[in-house]
Amino acid sequence: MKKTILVTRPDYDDATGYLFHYSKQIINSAKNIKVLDLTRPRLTRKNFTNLIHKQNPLLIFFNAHGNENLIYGDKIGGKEEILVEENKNHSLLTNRITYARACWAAASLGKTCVAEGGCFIGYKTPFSFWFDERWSAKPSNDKIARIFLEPSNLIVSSLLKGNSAQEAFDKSITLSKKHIMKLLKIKEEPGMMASIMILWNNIKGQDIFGDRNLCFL
Amino acid sequence: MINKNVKELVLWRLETSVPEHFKLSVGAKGSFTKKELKEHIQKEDDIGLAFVDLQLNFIKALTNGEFSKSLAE
Repeated sequence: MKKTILVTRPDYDDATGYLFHYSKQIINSAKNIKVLDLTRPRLTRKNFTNLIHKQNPLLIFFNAHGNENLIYGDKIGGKEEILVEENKNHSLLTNRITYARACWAAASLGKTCVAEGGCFIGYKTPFSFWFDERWSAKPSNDKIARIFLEPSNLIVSSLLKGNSAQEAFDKSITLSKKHIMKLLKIKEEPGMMASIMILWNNIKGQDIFGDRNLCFL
Repeated sequence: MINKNVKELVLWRLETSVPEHFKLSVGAKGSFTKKELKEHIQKEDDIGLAFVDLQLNFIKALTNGEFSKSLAE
């Protein structure tokens, strides 16, 4: 039986637009894996909950906005809909590997949802990135955003290759550091120090909880 | 309230290190150009304070050796 990954991909502002594009790269590269790709109009709390109960995905990959206690899905009727909330339905993530490419969710929700099993990777700070506003309509051409989003994509691509959650986490941090070193070597790079500052922010904010030896394959 | 010297330092670093076409995505708070970030820092609102924190944390890591130690690991 194929292993299953559930990916949430809203696309209603700059941040979610970039995450939407970058998570598509992961989906395109997934081989022999069942991908549940939740985008508008299917990205609703009801569908999300039903898919978890019926398809039992081992890996959940959120691309979203969030805070310490919750992760959002799509904006419906002008209002962001909550997909997972601490002390309400956080047990949906228990016994799974979750990567939340979202702000703050590792600060509290991440710990709570794996208290009885599973692993959670996320950020205890805002997940931030610079992008080139000239390319915001075509993120694939944006070389600035790539510096920040490639290390985060590496978490999921490593998991899909069979690495443990800890290995995926470490590879991502290592790639961010490599990008910092590369930027430091190209001193004339415009925005070099500003980019390094944000890479550092994401390195410091990235956190992992629960069973770090869990593997997707 | 942000200390006057800190505010000046952060505004100077923003001016000198961020190209005009760069925009910073800060999750649900939105995305901001250099000009918008400067306005938020001047107003000392949530976005401005968050950016000041980001800068100060980075400067701290640079000066106390945490940054270079981490890269060397």
